[in-house]
Amino acid sequence: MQDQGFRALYQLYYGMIEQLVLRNNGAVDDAADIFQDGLVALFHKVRKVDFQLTASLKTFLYAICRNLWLMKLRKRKRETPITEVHQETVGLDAEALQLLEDNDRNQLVAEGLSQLGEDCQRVLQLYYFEKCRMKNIAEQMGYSGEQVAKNKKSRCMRKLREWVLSQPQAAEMLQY
Amino acid sequence: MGTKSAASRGDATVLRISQNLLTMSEQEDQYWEKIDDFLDGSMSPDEQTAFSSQVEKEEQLKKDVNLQQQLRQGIAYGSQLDLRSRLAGIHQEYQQSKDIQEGKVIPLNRGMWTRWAAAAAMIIGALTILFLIQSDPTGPELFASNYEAYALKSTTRSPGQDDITDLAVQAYQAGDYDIAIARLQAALETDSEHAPLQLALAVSLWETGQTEEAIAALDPILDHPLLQDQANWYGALFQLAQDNTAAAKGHLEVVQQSGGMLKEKADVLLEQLK
Repeated sequence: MQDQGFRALYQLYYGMIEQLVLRNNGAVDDAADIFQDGLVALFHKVRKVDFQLTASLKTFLYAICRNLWLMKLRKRKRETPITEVHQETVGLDAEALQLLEDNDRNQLVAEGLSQLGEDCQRVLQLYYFEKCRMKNIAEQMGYSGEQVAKNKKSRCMRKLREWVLSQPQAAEMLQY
Repeated sequence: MGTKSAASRGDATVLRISQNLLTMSEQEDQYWEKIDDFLDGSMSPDEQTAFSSQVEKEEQLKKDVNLQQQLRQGIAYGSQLDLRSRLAGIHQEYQQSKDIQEGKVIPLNRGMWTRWAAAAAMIIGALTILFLIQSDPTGPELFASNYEAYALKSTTRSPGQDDITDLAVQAYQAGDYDIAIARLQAALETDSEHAPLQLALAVSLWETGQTEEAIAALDPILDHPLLQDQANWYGALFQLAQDNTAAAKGHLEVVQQSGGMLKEKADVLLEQLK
């Protein structure tokens, strides 16, 4: 279901973001990257408990992608005044633009996650990434109740912890 | 017979051991779940504070909390990678369908089908986004989507009446809630029946993170003839923010029964809380 939502966002807004990037010293590949990062950031933001959509989705996504592109231009030392392709704006907190860091520690845990069974991966993703409640997880996974989902989460987490801690580099990497 | 008994004893021992192991695993799970509750911020404020000081004192607990935090972060990172690769696939699909459309070689029937499919996908997509944003909202989510600071209007004063009330209203309207609290309290000392100021005080306390005090500040006006609805509305929101849905429902039912301006909003919230 989520993928249908993302497809719709592509149909509706990708063109706008591509224009933004192309008109501001970027290439088509940059636009694809920025739009995908923007969707990930939007996804994170939407799942926050205190999230409140204070502008249209279009304006919100534009603001995220615009700022992500500005950050990239700054890194490339090619920052210039931006030529806008959408006039409405909305303020964003810095947190809205933070994607999860690509570091060794995160990679190790992500590898551990991929070693688990499909159900375990999904339950942990639903809880820790999509911030779903147990009731919701039980419904999505077809479990008979919240307690079953909770037990499953605990078991999966135990397996992940054991796998991660059994890796030779874990002690140093996790300081544990 | 003797062998059978020995076997039975052996079975019982295995069972007992496995039960003990299960209990140990369960206990271990409970320990990590508590750490999760702490990291989720889903404990009560008192529990959160107590746990936090326990973490400071106990070295092993501190290490475990750090480990759990890192695992949570890594799971989210892995999920993000997964999402990113799904998005890359969607991007490819999008580019391919765009290329086909730009080639303008689509037969009429296929073009019609594509347009219908695109329209259907957009409707489903829009519903999904709505679902992502609004599905099964938690108390804090409901709070976030309904809360607005109370709009305290300036008081009508006689000329020359330069009192603390006016200064309190000014600070409140400017969003200087810390200053507003002190002034509102001073103003309420001289006019304790001023319900709008009392409500503004509750909201200011809330805005400055003084949850319990904010809830307590609503008490005197929960049955006020004019501000009862608003006081109960904020009471409900404050309780929702803490996921106390039962208490929130109590307030919302008062608003619903009074049939005032906030009835519709209360109806919607009560429906969402079912």
